[in-house]
Amino acid sequence: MAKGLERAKELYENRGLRASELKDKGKKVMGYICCFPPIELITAADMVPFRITGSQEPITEADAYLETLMCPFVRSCFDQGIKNRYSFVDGIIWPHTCDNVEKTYDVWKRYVPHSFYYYLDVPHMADPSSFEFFTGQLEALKSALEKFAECEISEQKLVEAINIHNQNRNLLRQLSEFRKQDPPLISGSEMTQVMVASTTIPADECNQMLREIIEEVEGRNDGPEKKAARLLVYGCEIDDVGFIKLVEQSGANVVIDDLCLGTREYWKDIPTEGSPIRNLADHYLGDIKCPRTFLRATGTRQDDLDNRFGHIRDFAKDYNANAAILYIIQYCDTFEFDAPDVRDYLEQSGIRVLHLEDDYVMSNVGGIETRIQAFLEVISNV
Amino acid sequence: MYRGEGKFKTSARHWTETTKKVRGMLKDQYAGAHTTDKPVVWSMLAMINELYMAMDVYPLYPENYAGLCATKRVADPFLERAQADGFSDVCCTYAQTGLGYAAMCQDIGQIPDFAPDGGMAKPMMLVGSSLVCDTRFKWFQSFARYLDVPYYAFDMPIPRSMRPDTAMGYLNYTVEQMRGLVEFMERVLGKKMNWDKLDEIVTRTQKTYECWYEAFITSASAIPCPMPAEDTLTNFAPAFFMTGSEEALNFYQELLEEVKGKIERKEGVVPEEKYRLIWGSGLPPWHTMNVFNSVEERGAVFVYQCAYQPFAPMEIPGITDPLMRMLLGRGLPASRRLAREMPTEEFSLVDMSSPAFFIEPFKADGIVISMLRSCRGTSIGQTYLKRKIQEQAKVPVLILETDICDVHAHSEANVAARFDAFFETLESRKKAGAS
Repeated sequence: MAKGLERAKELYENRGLRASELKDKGKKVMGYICCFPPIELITAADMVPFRITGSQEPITEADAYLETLMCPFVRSCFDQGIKNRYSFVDGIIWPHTCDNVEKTYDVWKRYVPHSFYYYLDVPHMADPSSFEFFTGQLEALKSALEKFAECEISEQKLVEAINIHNQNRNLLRQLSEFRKQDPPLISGSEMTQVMVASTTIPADECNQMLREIIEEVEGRNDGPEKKAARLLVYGCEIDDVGFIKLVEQSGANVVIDDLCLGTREYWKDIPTEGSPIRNLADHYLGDIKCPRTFLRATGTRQDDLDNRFGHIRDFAKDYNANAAILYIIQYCDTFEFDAPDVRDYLEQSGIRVLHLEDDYVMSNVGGIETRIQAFLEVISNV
Repeated sequence: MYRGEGKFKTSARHWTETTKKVRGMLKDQYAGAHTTDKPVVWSMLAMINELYMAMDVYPLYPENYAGLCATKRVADPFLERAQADGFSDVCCTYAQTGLGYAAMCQDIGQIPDFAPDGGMAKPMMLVGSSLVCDTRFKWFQSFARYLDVPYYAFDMPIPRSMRPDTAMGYLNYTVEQMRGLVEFMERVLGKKMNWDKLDEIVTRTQKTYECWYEAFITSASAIPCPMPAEDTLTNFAPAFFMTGSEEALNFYQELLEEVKGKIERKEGVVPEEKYRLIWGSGLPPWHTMNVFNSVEERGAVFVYQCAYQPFAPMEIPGITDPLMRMLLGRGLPASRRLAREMPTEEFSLVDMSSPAFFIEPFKADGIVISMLRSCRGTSIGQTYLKRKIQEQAKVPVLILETDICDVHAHSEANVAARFDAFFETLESRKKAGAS
């Protein structure tokens, strides 16, 4: 079996590889979409958490079921589902993250066959009452998973699962540290492969793979070349290397991100003291900075912006990124609404910004490439 | 001059006299906001108007104003202004209109002179919610670019089961969120909520909703139908934007009387109805509302619309908290009350918005759905609904691609061609049924 980065590449290219093997050995595979379903509950129920992603292949079947004026990422996921690419997935946890995801649940449930469907309501607000409500939602999810998996998720098992996933997050943060070097020891596209791969296998196997990758990257002398610019990429779902690779081939090192399959997922650990269910609620609703979760403004406008976007500015500073690309998937309304504020906030912090709106599969790759090249030229002359 | 302005009448002709009063009521509402002593709030529709009335706050609804701008065909400059700031042209065009309006007011230091009805008076605070779609709390967050006023957003999630243990969790959470809004207003206004006053207003709302429900459902059930969708797409406004007021109650009492009178006299929009249609899920093209009248020339009438439906109160005795009473008063869509059933298993939110519920009670021959370029909240699931309706109810469904405010997303020629084909289908079905 391949190891380290090679293993990540293998799993990235054949995402159902390991989950299918495990299913054949009697394990249940629980699918989920987006950052919000607590995968710790899946692990604690002794099932394999498997993240549903899209594909760069043309959408050919989904058009008969879903509108073209909605998120192309979600449409692509559905296209994969309706083509039976997720036939090894026993069940699905579908969170209410945004309108696109929420409304697709009903269509998915009717047309994509699984043995278990669960709609997880995630509040949009993050008030004390929201955390209470979400804790109740997670208690109900836990009961449903116990019934489906025919096992009890004891407090001890859940704390163990939190620990193992925290290790996973910690290892990803360690790997990110290598991106601080100039040139970075791991490229943005390799990091995307690792991120995608890590969502297709059990957490303990993932930790093993990440340890191998860290060892490999730390000692490598075939890492990325030094480029003229160091970039941060901001956006929602990037589950394909195409865009990042295009940026890197255009003359930049992508050294840090604020993405759903990126730092948004692994930057903060979940506490292990106190009620584990409540800790999950606090983490998923409170720690994941996605525009779909409303952060109440306190103080001045600047305080509000610092609270919502300060972490992106800090990423850029800590990783010595001199510019940022906002890669916004068209029809992703919550990101579309935040984009002008993110752009202005970063520019006011001295970070040059390129704001791109794309259709997820880069059907206008020439136009995007031209804009990236022009942007890199501008920032290299500053 | 913008496309169509002053050249053609693109708004709808109305059939009920009471409906014709709505335009004046809304005009007065916008004008009054410029002279009132009360603090003005810009609010997203979340069926909480009673709270503003009880706190002596003057509400304006930018989504309603955006629709007005579209109807008057003056939305374009606002859309372009929002896009110039980086907002995508696929974002909700209510939002783009509102953001563009606020940006232009900031740019020139006054309300643009082409803004209809004298524009929206500057607010003292903003209130958004998560009800229906994400835009409803995100858009108002973006207002902070142009308006330095406090903002409160609150959650209104919709349960997927009416099982008491599930539904009560949702209701209790929403009440807590509404209580947060009350506390926010108390802080901003420096005064306390008058709970007794709120209770009275909520009671008046319940009476208003009963008249609203009866007027809409009675009309849609009647043959010939006396009040078509182009009327109900206007006369829903007092129930949404003036909820709890004496004015709204009087309006629906009068509307109900008028509808009953027309039914008694058998006065229909189309005396010999050839086809009875339902305007299914999706908001209407506010810029081209005469599309509704266009079908009447073919002997068809839209007997019901699913975009702005009356609520069916949930009856849970012993509830005294006015916030909970408010919520329960709008607890169920009309379809559930018609079906006389409370789903206890998980149900589909998309299915819950299906116009299929109304086919049999309103004796409908076909359904028209508007798919809006800028609206995920109402458009996602429409393809699925069309498939399902055609499979199960076997009623023709027409999907029109358009938009609420962006007239450039609407092709009149294309719409006319689609209607031609749709009516051919209806005709052939009728002939096949007759033979």
